[in-house]
Amino acid sequence: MPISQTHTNANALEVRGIGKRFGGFWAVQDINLTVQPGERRAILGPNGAGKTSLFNVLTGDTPATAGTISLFGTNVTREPINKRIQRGVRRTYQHAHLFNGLTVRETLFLAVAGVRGGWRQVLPLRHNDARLTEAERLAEVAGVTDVLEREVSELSHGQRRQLEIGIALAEDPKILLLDEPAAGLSPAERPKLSALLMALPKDVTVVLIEHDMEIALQTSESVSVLYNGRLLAEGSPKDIMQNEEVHRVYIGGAHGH
Amino acid sequence: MTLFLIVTLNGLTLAALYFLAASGFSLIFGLMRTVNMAHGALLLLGGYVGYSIVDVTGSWGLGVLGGGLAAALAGALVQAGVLGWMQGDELRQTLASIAISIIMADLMLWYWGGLTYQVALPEALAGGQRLPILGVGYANIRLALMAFALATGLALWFLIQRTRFGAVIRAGVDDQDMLRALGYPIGRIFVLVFALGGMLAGMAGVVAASALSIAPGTDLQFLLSSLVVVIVGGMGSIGGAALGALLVGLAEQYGLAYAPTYGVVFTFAIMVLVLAVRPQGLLGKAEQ
Repeated sequence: MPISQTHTNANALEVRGIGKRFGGFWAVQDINLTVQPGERRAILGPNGAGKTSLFNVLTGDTPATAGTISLFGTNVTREPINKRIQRGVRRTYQHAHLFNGLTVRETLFLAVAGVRGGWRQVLPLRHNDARLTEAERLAEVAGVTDVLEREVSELSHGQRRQLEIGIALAEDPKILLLDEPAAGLSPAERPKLSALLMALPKDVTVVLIEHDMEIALQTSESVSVLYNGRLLAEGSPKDIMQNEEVHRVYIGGAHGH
Repeated sequence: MTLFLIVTLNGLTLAALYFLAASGFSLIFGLMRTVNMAHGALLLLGGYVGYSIVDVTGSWGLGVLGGGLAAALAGALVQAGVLGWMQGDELRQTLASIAISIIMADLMLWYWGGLTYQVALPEALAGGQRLPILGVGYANIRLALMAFALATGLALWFLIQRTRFGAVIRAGVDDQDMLRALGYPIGRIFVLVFALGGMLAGMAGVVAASALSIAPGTDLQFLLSSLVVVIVGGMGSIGGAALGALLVGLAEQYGLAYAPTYGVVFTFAIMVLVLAVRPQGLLGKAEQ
C-alpha cells in the first residue's frame, strides 16, 4: 500500500488543515494530505467538490485562508507562485491555458526559460542555446515534435493537452499537479495521453485530478476523494471502488457528466 | 498634381508621427490592458527634455536619445509607483493615469513655460531637396521622420516577433496568468514594457518638436490621435498601429487640403465606420 509505505525522506507534499474561503463560502476546508515522493495520487470528487480550488492553493495561484503546505519538508504556505516553481512544482489547468500566438517551440522555450532564466535577452530565438535543446527534448517527451513550428492556435485539442504536459515537465519537476489532463479528449486521444502519463519519470510525484475513472485508476496508486470541500475518503483504487460512501456521492452520480 | 503629392507626403509625415506615438500606447495596452492616458504627457516630456538637451549640447541625436530615456524612466516610475498597484483594475488605472497626465502637464508648464518650442535641426536635416521621380521639393526633416518611423516599426517588429524577450511579451498578451504560472515575474515585465512604451513616446516627442513644434496641449493632441489610431488599427498590434496611423494621417491631410470645412470629420468618420463594422480594429484580435 503506497500510503503506508515508510520513506526516510520528507514527504513530497504535506497539507495540514488547508482551507480556502471565498466570501462566506469555504471552497475547501480542513484538508489533510500526505503524498510521498514518487507517489501517483488521484484526486476524485464530483463537480464543485473543491478539487481545482485545492490545486490553486497548492500552487500558489491563490493564497490559502487557513492551514499549512509543506513541500519536501519546507513550509511554502506564504511563498508566491514563482518561488514554488523554483522548488519543482508544476501544474496544468483544467481548461488549457496556452499562448495561441506562439509556436510550440517558443512555448516550450518559455517554459524552460521561466525556470532557468535568460528571457530578458533581446536576442533572436534561433540561436545555439541549451534551453532550445531542452525545449526540443520536452517536445519529444510530450509527443509534439512534428508540430514544433506550428502555432499553438492550430493544434488539435489532444496536441494542446500533450503540450501542456510538456510545459509542466520543463526543468526537472519534482511534483506535477495535473488538473483533468484528459478533459475533452476524444476516446481515440485518451490512450495516447494515458500512455504519456504512465511514462512520466518514476521519481516525479504526480497529483492528478481526473474524472475519467479508467485513466485515474490506471495511472494512480492511491486516491483521495473530495466531497463538498472536505476529504471524504482515502485509500488504494480498490478500496475506493468498494467504499460505499464514495459510491454514493461520486461514482453513483458521476455518470451524469 | 504637385498639390496632391505634397498633401500625400504631409499625410505620410503625420502618419509617421502618429505611428511613433501610438505604437508605445498600443504595446502597453496589448500586454497589460492598461489604457495609459498619461501617454501624451510622456511624449511631451520627451520633447521638452530633448529640446533642452539639444539646446545645451547642440547634438540632435543626443536629444532624441535623452528625450526617449527621460520618458522611459518616467513611464517605468508611473507603472512601478502607481499603476502597478492597481493591476487588473483597468478603470481605476485609467482614472489614475488621467490624474498623472494632468500633474505632469502642470509640472512641465511650470518648468518650461507656455512657449512653443522647436528643436534646432542639425545641418544634414535642415533645408529640403527635390525628390527624384516625383519632382517636388520636400523638407529633409520630414523625410528623415518617415525613415525613422519605418526603422522604429521594423525594430519593434523584430523585437516582438523574433527575440526571446519578444516571445515573453507575446505570451503575456495571450495569457497573463499562464505566463505567471510559468514562473515569470509579471510585475517586472510590466515595468520594462512601460519603459519601452515611454521610450517610444519620448523619441516621438523630440521628433515632433523637430518636424513641427511642441507646446502645452501637444500632449492631448497626441493622446487623442493615439486613441483614434489604435481604435482604427486594433489595440495591441504594431501592424495595426501602422495601418491606423496611415489611414488617420492621410485622411487628416487630404481632408484639410480638399475639404477644409469638413477636414476633422474624416478622421472620426473612419473611426465610426471601423467601430461599426469591425469593433476590434482592422488588425485587432477579438476578445475571447
